Amino acid sequence: MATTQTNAREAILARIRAHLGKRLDESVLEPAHPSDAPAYALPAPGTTPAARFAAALEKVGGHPHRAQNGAEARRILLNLVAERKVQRAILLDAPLLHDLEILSALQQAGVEVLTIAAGDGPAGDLSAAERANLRAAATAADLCISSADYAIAESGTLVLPARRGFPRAAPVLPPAHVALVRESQIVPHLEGLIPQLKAALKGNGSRWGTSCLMFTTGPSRTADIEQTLTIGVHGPGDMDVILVADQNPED
Amino acid sequence: MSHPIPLVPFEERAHKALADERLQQALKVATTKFIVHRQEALSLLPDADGLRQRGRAIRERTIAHLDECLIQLESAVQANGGHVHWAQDEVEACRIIVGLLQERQARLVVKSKSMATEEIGLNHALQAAAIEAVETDLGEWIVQLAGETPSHIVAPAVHKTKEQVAELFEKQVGRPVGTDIPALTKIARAQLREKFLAADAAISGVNFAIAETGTLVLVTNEGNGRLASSLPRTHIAVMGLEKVIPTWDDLPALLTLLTRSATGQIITSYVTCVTGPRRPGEADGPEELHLVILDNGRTRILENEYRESLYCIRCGACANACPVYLKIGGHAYGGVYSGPIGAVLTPLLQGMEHFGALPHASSLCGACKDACPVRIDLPRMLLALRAQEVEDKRPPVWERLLFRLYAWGTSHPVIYRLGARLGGLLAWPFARNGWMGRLPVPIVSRWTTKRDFPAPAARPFHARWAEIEREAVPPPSKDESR
Ligand code: SF4
Repeated sequence: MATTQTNAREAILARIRAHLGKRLDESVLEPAHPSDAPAYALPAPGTTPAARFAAALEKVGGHPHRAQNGAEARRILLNLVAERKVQRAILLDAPLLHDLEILSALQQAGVEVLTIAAGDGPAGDLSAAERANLRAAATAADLCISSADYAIAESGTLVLPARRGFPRAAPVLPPAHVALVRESQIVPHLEGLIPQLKAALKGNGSRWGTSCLMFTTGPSRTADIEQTLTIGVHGPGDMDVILVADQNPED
Repeated sequence: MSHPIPLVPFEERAHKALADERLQQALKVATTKFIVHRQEALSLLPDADGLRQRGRAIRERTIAHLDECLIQLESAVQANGGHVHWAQDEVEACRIIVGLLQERQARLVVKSKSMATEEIGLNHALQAAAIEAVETDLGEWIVQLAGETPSHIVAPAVHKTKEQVAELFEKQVGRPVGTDIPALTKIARAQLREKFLAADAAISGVNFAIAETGTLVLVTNEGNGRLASSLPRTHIAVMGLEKVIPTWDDLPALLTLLTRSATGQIITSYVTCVTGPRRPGEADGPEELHLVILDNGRTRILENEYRESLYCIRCGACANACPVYLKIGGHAYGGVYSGPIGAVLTPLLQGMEHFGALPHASSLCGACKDACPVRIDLPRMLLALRAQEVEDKRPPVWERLLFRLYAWGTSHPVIYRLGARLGGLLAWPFARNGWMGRLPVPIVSRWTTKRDFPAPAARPFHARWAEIEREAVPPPSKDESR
């Protein structure tokens, strides 16, 4: 196996080099013109990032909410929990969720909450049994509550890096996902976010800072049967985002 | 083990599709929707054509440095704790994947949509090894339950009605299920969720592989790519070697060109960027990540004027725009890739012997090139392939003789007139309203099976012209011509 592998690798690379060495007639292969056209729509003048995010999310079948402060955010969340008759929720770790005291609010409302802690101190790994338990809990939950590292206004997208305290599948397994995001976390578009992401995730030049960077935009959707749009295939059918106005003293 | 060579010739497959009115209706609905949404999504951009140029430039630069990009990708994936395998062809690729699964005693595998695994015929190889493989993209699952292949890059089951889907699901769950589409989707969710939770391994494709960080980007709407790369303990990703892109900075342009061109979305519901297996302390993610880099004829394509077919990002816009695809659908193409890009790639990857007819499945109207987000010159390559096909199989002696005879005849007026009259007389019994359908004469019938032929005029043009000249135009007098 090892030798076939080296052979295959070397043979493929050798063919690439030999064939790329041949210059192709430019009249045959029309060269690309250099262009720096943006990969995003220009924001309509006079609109705020939060308003654009809400409109984009709504357009793809998600449910945006705006909260002036933490109290309002909690109220909106508890309304959703009551409306959807949520009994079990999985709560992912994020500073904003701590700040807004989401856990105690849910518990007071009688929701059974499973928290996934970021774990403090030196990295201890989770055992296979612990992981299996977490997965079972996420599968049985009616709702996943998370924050996001960024939100993209143009497309209504949440940017979620997997990490300790943020499992890859947790927001996808339950039938509903609610994310709470500060307005200051909204960026205009993906293209503008890339340098920020690189700075945040490249760290000290070692490996990329997350094992899985996830972009989530609205509910899980398909049109595979007769081109009819249907939501909630593998992921949640309900995707709510509560945009929380930036911190002000009365919070 | 490769994607099977179809048993019936292209003409026959196309005929069958043409007779299927329901298929054409479905294709029309789907492609019209895709075209309208694509237009809308591109029109939101300040300079859509400029962005397409940018996309093309990225692909051109990548392919021009393909060896370096792949080596960088390989070392980055390894640095993240992943494993890289190189496969020269489908046999090697299937052997590697089946081997990995057998070593891990995997019995159940969930698959997330991947054209590359269709191309290498992986499902057959898995079946032969008694490994159950379940497609998890809803459309792909429907097609798998029906024992068929995808008929559209983006909408694999576009040819199925909800009644047909219901019938397939009924067999699966063993009870009547009705034809309500959301209810059918719920059934699929429940059935496939079980598979996701029980699977020993996941196999996915790759939409883009970012060389600088070794990141594999999976683009889906349903969320199956996200679950496949999170739940099973082994994740095997299979990519054609052209799927690499150099850096994260190249992603936004190509990603939004892909989704805008495919379905008219700014971005899909789930874009999952996998950089290695689960890290210590994380609650999920695979223990092992394997990347299979597949050649399977691609390096051969690099050599010549078909190089730009490797710029393709598999959006399907060329198929939606193609008047021929609209009429015959994906299955008639017989290969994995359909539409204009399929008519170019399939003969190149799977051989002209079996797929030489595909480049003719185009009217060369140019709509595909106009739709392509990276401006691939599909009509040029279709023409080049046609020329190559003619070159490959020179016409038989009798045909060349016939054309020599024809050339001689047309340059001798007496013979030509005689021939024209004779033609009119011979054709007269077969002509209907100026057209001839299928002719029962052996050689001529080859023309008329695929198209109606205009019947020769009762009186040849040269005879009528002489008449008209005599009647209408008096010869100029000597004075006027001065
Ligand atoms: S050839 Fe162009 S239009 Fe066709 S699938 Fe590829 S990228 Fe899309």
